[in-house]
Amino acid sequence: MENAEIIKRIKGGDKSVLEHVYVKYRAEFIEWLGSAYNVNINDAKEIYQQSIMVFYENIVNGKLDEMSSNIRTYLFSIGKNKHAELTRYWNKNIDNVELNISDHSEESDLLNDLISLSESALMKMGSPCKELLQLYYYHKKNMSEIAEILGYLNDHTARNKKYRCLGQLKEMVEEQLKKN
Amino acid sequence: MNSEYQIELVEKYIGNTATNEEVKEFEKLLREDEAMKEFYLHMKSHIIAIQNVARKEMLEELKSIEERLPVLNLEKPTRKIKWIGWTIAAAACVAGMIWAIGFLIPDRATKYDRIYASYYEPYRNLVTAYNRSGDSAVTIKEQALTSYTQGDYNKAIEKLQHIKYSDQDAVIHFYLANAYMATGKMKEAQDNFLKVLSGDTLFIDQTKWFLALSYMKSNKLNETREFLSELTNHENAYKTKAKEMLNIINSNQ
Repeated sequence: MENAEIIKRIKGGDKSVLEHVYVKYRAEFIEWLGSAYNVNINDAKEIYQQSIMVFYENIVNGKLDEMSSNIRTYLFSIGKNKHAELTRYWNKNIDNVELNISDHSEESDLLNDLISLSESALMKMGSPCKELLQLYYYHKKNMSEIAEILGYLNDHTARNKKYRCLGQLKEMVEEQLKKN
Repeated sequence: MNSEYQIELVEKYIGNTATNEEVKEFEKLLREDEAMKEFYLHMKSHIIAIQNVARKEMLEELKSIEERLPVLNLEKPTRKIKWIGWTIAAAACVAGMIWAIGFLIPDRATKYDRIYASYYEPYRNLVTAYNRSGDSAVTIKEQALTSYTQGDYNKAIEKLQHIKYSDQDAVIHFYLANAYMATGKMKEAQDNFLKVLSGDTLFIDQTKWFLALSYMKSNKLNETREFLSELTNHENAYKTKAKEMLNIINSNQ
């Protein structure tokens, strides 16, 4: 299958193609991380899974529409960056180094609290609101595609439903804020 | 300013799709309007949370793919003694399996049935998009794959047969073949697996692995060997198992 076809099908929501990519490069990628960076197999699997996720996100965000390199090269370059990023994170946790104080502000603390509340509210929401919001904000589907996936009449109905779901999420978070 | 317009403005600002003019106007609003600033913070937190939860779910899906793949054998023959040690251990394992298969089970067909049973595990469905439940499954394909996931292979076959002529993609034939295999209908399984190989380039290694198993179950050892050999020629998730099974078959001749 050509790169363009793989990208097109993943973008279209065909998860079997993403699985195909996962299986195809898995052994080589994990072996490469082990030999090049002395990463153990479990950490290598975690890095590989995160790299596949970044690969997916870049596809749905339209960053790979004009892909110059092949998928293998691209995936390995994501892996290299992911390894560096996770090594920094793991070292930070091991050394118990505090985050730079300038990273903390009242606003960023409030944002972090709101994110936690939104995450737990979202988990309580269930289908179809949770699914709809994820389709729009993570899988980057447009309203016509969402209407087709979720069986709505048209994009207008999907858009209205999205606003209602966002409103519901906002209410749930505000209710929790009041309790706190 | 209505809330839908505000939402779209925040989405554009966060998603970097706002024009320079819109960015300027929005940042001015954030500085001057406390209510807008609060609204922005809430919307931003919602969007980040939605993406975080989706990422966690995607990682779970990738982990589930990983869990059902064969264990990676990445030991390298860096030291000769270690390599010889592993070789002896592997040979001992194979010899043990051969002994168990050859002596404890006298009938040849039963012997291969046992090998089949020790390697065969129904393929899990990871295709159905966005984790829909059975109730909300809309298309026949999704309904079929939901039945497959639930282990209702006969129902899956019934539904997949209904769409196989209108939807010739590899996914249909692959899961139809697997459903036939799970219900013991090897000939039908093989016919559909061969259609996967003749068409798309998806599921090629998986198909060869299951074809090899189904031929073994049908006592067609030449075909079994052929597909296992193909799997041992390149890096793939089934390479180690294919080598192992090939050794067992060849030693049992």
